[in-house]
Amino acid sequence: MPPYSHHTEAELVALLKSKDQQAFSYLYDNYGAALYGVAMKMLNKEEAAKDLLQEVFIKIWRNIASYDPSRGRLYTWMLNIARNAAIDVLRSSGFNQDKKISGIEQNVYNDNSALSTSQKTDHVGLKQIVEGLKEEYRLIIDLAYFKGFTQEEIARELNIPVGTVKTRSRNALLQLKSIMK
Amino acid sequence: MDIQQYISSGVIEAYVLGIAADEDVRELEQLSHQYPEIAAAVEEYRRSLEAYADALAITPPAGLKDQIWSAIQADEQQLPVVHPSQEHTGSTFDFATNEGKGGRRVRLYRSLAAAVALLLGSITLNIVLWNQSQQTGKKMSEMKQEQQRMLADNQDFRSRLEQSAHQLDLLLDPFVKSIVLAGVGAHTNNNAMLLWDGRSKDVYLSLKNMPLPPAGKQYQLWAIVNGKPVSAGVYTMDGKQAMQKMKTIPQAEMFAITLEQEGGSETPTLDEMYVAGKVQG
Repeated sequence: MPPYSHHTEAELVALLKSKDQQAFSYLYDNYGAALYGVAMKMLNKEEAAKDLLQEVFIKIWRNIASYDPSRGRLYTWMLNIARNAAIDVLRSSGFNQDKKISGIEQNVYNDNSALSTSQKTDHVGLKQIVEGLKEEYRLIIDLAYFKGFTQEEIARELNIPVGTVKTRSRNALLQLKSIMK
Repeated sequence: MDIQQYISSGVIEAYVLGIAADEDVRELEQLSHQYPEIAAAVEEYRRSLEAYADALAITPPAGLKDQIWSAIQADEQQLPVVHPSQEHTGSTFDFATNEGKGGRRVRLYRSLAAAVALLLGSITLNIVLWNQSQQTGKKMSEMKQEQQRMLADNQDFRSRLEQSAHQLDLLLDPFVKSIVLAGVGAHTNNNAMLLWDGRSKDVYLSLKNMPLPPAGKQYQLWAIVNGKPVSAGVYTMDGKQAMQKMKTIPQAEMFAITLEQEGGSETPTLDEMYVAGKVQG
């Protein structure tokens, strides 16, 4: 089990606001792997993912004072920082965009579950998600959530009407939710 | 508001995935404050997606943690941050292990390297600044040209406006007679408008409804005085076909226009008469 249970989010936030190295260490050990995994998933390149992880931690450090717990959980906040930063990288002209979506299946068999920072008590592994999620639903989630595509861009990428993107994204999340239960 | 219908409309899923339209985002954020059911539905999806993100976790490469901590500290002191991908574990460390023996040499190399880097930086900066000033200069001259063009346009507009005002004055002046010169023979489709000032005896002509004369030819206006044609000058087709002042004619019974060689003729070529009109009263 991750050491997350040692601190509640509120305690962690207080610790982070003190800005000492111990707080960073705790944050990195508990969220580093999740945020790095997201960075790898989105950018698909180790060098870029390392740079991104650093940028994300710097942003967390700079902005922790303005984090407002009433507006969402800390993890959501950090994940959004990471996703937005990665989307910025993906959209930057210099980034050599690899058109194919990162092969999630490659990761499935590297069992990383022990490293996961999941805050859920009943942890669901990647393998279960990939096997439980219909391919076309996984594609929609990956393009929208992990590539920052708009509905129109997804429609173009998959060559389906925008209306289909809407129905599919609803069904995709319903299915994901049922897997996670 | 039908909450259940809203929840099953698909907007929440699009919102959580980050693909909802801006107005839907605004509406949803407002509604989720009002309706706990909506907030709960959002949160539930969010947690599913976050669990998915969790499942992707990969242990970052060893050493990255220390690098990031150094970068955070550098950032806090507003020093330039080194990106992990730029971190190179090469020459400098090799030199460092040789300190002692060639320590001074290493330091010399380092200061040389620093000096070269500074020089290169300064050259680059100079090139950038020079480029910028070149561009500014280019923009300035473009703007100057633009300004000159606008001035020319302005002058052109002003002269046209003055001309129009003058024409309007003539038309409204009760002492100015307007005479329509109607088409003659094969030229019944053409006509011309002539204005004759009863006091100054000035004659103005407009040829809006006349064909363009062939090259080397010009229209010539004739006043018929006591049965004899007197030249009232040639009309210059300048594309605008505005009112043009002709020669002053003290007295005439009739006006006519013929097509003549450029510059005009002594006597009219009668079979090239286009239009003619009698002076009334």
